[in-house]
Amino acid sequence: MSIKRVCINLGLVLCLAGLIAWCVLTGKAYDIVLENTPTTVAGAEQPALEAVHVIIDKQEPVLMLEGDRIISTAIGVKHKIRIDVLDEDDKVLESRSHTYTIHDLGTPPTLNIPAVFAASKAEK
Amino acid sequence: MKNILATLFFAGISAFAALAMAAPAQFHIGVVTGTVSQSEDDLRGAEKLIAKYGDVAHDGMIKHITYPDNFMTEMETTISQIAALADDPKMKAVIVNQGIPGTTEGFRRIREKRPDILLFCGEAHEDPGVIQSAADLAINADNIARGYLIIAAAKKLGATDFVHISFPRHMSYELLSRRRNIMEAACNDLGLKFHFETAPDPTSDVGVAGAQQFILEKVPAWLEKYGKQTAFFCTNDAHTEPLLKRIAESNGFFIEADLPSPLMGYPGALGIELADVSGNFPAIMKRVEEAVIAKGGKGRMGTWAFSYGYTNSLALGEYAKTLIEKGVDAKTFRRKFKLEELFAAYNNATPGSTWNGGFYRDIQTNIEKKNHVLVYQDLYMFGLGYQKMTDVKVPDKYFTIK
Amino acid sequence: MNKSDGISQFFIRNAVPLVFLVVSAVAIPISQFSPSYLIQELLIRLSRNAFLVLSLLIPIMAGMGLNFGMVLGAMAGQIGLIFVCDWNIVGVQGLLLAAIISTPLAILFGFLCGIVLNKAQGREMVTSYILGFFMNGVYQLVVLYGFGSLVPIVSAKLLLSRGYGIRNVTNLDGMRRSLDELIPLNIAGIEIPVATFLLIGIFCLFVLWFRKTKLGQDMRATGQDMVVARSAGIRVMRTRIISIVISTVLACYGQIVFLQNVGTMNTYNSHEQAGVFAIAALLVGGATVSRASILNVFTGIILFHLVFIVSPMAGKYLLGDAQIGEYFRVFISYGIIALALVLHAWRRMNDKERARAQFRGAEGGAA
Repeated sequence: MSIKRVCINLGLVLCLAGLIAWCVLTGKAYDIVLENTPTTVAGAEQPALEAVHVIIDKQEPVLMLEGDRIISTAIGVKHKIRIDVLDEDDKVLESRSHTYTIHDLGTPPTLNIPAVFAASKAEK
Repeated sequence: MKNILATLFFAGISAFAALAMAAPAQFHIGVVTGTVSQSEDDLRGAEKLIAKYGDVAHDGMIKHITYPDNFMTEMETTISQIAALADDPKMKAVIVNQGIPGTTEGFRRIREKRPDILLFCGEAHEDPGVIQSAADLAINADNIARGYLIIAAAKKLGATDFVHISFPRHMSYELLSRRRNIMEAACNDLGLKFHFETAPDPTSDVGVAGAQQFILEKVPAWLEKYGKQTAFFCTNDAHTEPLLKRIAESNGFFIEADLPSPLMGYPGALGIELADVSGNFPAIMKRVEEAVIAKGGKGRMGTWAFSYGYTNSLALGEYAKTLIEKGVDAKTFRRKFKLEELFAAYNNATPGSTWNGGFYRDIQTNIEKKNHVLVYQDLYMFGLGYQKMTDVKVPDKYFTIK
Repeated sequence: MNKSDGISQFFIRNAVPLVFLVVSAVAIPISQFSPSYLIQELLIRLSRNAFLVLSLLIPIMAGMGLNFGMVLGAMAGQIGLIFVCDWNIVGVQGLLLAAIISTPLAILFGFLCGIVLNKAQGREMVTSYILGFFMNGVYQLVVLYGFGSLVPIVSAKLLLSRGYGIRNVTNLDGMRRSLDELIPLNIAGIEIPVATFLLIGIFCLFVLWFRKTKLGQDMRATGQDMVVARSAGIRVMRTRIISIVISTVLACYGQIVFLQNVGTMNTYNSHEQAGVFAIAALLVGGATVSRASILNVFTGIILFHLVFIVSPMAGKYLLGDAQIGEYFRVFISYGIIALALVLHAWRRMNDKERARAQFRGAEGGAA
């Protein structure tokens, strides 16, 4: 086999490896447990919210009622979560957002909605 | 002659329905079931809905279609059959019973086109996590609670031993193997002796005939070995018929089948002619009960009074109709959904019998799914009547047994 | 050959597509579907199935008949998808990765299949059909018992809770329609999967180009007559194996494209339907066991699936009962496939007869 062919083959293998790496890095999704349950943040009791729409990045809003726990999926490591508090007729009362990376959430990745809501209040 | 009369009768009913509903229905409900050869009861439930509310073809409310008999390999057809219902602008709800593979994708396609349509699924075959991602409401038989309740009923009737008949393929199904383990635990707690017996798989080389022959030969031997007060349970439909036949003739208890219905096993085992009362469950029950008592099975054999598949079609249809009339659509369903209303619809569909159940709980994450309900019906013992098993509280510990 | 003979020849040659055309022309108005629904559904089916059907062309060119062994390629594609689901990689990246993982598997399967088929010359179709069943057993064994025990699978969503074996339905939600919607285009409420069609177009060009290459010419020569090809210095066995390998790899990609559109995978059944339906569609398009073109592929898919879409509803409205509609569909669809096969055999006999008659006529003229 000539040097030229070896080089070409090597190049092709490298391209393929690059492609695989790109696929894994940009396409990896993570499952996150979202819970709308009462919690304590810094000693203060946070009650569960009556009804909220949770929007991660640009996904469809997910309705969560008091006491709900669901699993949500999002691509990549860094995400923006928006919480819309709803009234009886599903009108948005208040809307807050918060940014997080997957590594902040522990294993399994869990996000407590009242806690996030309280934390983002401080930011505002 | 009977057939001609029946045809005339149905023609009369549909003519009456057409007259009564001179004005076209305000909205339509799509019902998807199997055919007579795959799941007759589901289809009879849909026909009952048509008899009550009329066919869309005659300005009525119900649009009934069937999925392929060969549904495991014709998923593409199932998907487009379900998705085609969204083509009707008056469509407000779609009920798929049973939720064979492809239902989830069919639902997703409807949702993309018409986000307001209510999507209900009776007896989901797809994995719980899959169907939950698309359906507004999915129903399954509550095999977890039944694992305890069947044992509790056996205890109440005076059984001392419990025989669970199955085979390896079925024991690799998640819910079946969990139910077996729950039954064993319940037997230990309630003081029954649990025995696991293996019978040939009817889909293997011995075939249905070989598997049934095995049961016919073995039941007397098991009764000899474990005593007369033994209750039997089998996970396979093909095993049910010979088991019923032997129990009716001799001793032992048969609490309820894997998917209980008066049509499950009894007509074949006891030679009951039911062609003229198809779809009429009170009449079917009456005839089956007479036959069981005549054979000497009084107080030893039970069932659910109404077929599960039939009730799913009927109750989900009725429930969808009430919701739509209240102005609830898929977007507001999650907020308005109440478990009591769903069970009320089931109870109304089965006069005399009652239903109970609860939300599905994922065993790995311990997350309760609010759109997936597990249901079970009260046990009816022939010659004794309803056993009020729906009032029995199932201890929490059984829900966590893997 | 006179004119009326020419017309009757046209009808004989195209009997199957014509029957399908007539059936669907009758059934469309009865089914009461809106045109937009029909067009949308046909576009979806075309984008979903074209790849799988196209993968059949190359073995036909090499004289190996209809490759029922494409089921093996479909299995390879599904194994790739299971891994990608397990690693939770979504979108087009997931599809691409699944294709990369499954390619070596598909090459291996195709190679084995090719070797077996070389041992069974003249009976390739039935051999590959049975080979599909055999590999189905191997696939079930591996996926139901090997995955999770020998092959590491981490996701609890895929694994049965007993610790090994994949659940019977795999949710492809993350990858669902990611290729179809890569380049979104919506004309008058009808979504057109541009990227999928681009891919299919590239593939068609590949097939056209491939016919002109040295390898393609060798295959055609092998397909015409193996003895002549061998004496012309073509390595017949090698050529045949290559044609099956290419077909299997393409079927593997085809299954990935198919499943990304369908969105859920029946882990143990999805591949079973791939072969038969693709072959039926190709036959309906007027192809034969020995001759098939790209045009056959597209007319075949359109006609075959048109009947599949409209016949259940047409049956329902015609006969007033939902389940009779379903039986009607099965009866019509499979009846016509059987007709296609019978007509093919009859036509071949007819052609032979005519060739003989011509030969005799030529001789007679000389005498």
